[in-house]
Amino acid sequence: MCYDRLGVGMTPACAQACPTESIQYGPLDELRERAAARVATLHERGVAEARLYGHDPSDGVGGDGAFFLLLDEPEVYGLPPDPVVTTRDLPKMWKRAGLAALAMAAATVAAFVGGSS
Amino acid sequence: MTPPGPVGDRFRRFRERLADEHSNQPSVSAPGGDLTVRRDANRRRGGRRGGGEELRVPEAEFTSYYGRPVLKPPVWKWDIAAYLFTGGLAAGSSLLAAGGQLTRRPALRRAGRVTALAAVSASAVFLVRDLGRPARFHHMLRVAKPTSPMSMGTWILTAYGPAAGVAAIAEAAGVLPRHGLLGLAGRVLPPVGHAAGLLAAGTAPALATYTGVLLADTAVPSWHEAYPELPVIFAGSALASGAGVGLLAAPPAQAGPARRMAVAGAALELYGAHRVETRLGLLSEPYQLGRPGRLLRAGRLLTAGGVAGALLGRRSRVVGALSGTALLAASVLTRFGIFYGGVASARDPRYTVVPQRERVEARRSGMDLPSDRAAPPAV
Repeated sequence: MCYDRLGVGMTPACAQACPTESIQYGPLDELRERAAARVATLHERGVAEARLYGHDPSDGVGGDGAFFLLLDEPEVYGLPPDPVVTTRDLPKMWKRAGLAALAMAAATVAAFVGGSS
Repeated sequence: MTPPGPVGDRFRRFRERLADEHSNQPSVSAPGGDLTVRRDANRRRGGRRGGGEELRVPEAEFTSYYGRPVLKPPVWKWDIAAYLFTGGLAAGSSLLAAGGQLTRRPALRRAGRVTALAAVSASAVFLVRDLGRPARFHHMLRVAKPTSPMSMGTWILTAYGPAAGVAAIAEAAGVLPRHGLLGLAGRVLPPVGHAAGLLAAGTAPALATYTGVLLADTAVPSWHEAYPELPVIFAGSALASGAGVGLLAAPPAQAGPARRMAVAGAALELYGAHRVETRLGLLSEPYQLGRPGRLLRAGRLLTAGGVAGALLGRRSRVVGALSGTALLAASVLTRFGIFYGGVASARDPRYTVVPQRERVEARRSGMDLPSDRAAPPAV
């Protein structure tokens, strides 16, 4: 669907079929601009809860490929409020595992070398 | 879960409620009282931490989309919890066997090697059963990917498994006849087993601890946040179960190192489990409540009992065997407790949302403070 349509210069079927044009498709920068303008308009109209979700490339997951304009906290929509990509701490995890492995080897050596019985 | 009603109806009610809230007063309450779940534990914590400091934002009531989980629970079934035990048992046994072979304690060596082979075979069965297409397990060997603990684990097992197998087969040298072809095998096997046993022991610590990364490198909140402790718990649990094998199989005269291994393993395991149950705040809760809580408490009791028995009953074969059994059972219980604690934390959206929300609030208040001192406005 998406891939074939994009290949011939069309928008994804969901975006084209969306009756309220809630699904928008385009270059990310342009979409970010449009979204920021929309949020500003909503705030002017008194919808203070309007916010963008997943638009920020510097968040815990490096920004989402598809971002949302929400009218409440993300969790109300079933979205995590501050997601973090699981591999962010992976180097630290391997380090801890390495330390634990060393402790294990050291404990075994001590168990066999130390003591008299 | 609320059964999905007519969509239009639900939306109309939502809109009316919004209109009501706007016409009355700007109340803070989230839409839908029935969707809001009270969070008592957070209140308790908030109260303790508060210390007179005025909270900028009222303690958020926790909401999610119709109370549904934000995360999908892990697809792993009980066989992965069982693998956590058998993998650790294999690692602990191999270390015991290597110690036994280097310090000439044949009972420890034999028991360790045989247990290691049995446990690593069971591990392979559990792991292959868990794959989506078990018949294609060898496809795991087409890639080596440091960012995937599963891929790394496959390679650790690939290095460890054959070594442990050869070491165990070498134990057959004792029963082979002295002459002929089998006699030759009987003379070749011990040195080969020696080398294989050392190789297995060299990879065993990695086998025992990588599973901590395997669990922590997921979005499951209570596993992910416990990443500093999980390898410690698993290393301790593996040592204790290996020591349990030694206590079960060896006469008291040879079991001294197994007793000391049991003490070291139990210390690591109890320390790690204690940290996990107390350090993580709300995310410690899944490890205290319900079935995981019961499993971990029982595991702790058995670990303590096993170590006490191993130390006090050092002259008695029976007490030693009982202690060994207790340590093995404790290792099983601890692994299942950690496993199901994480699963419980993924099933309840509270554990996903509340810590992240606290993180957001902390960041926000951290950003506000400098800007109060007339720092240049950020973004």
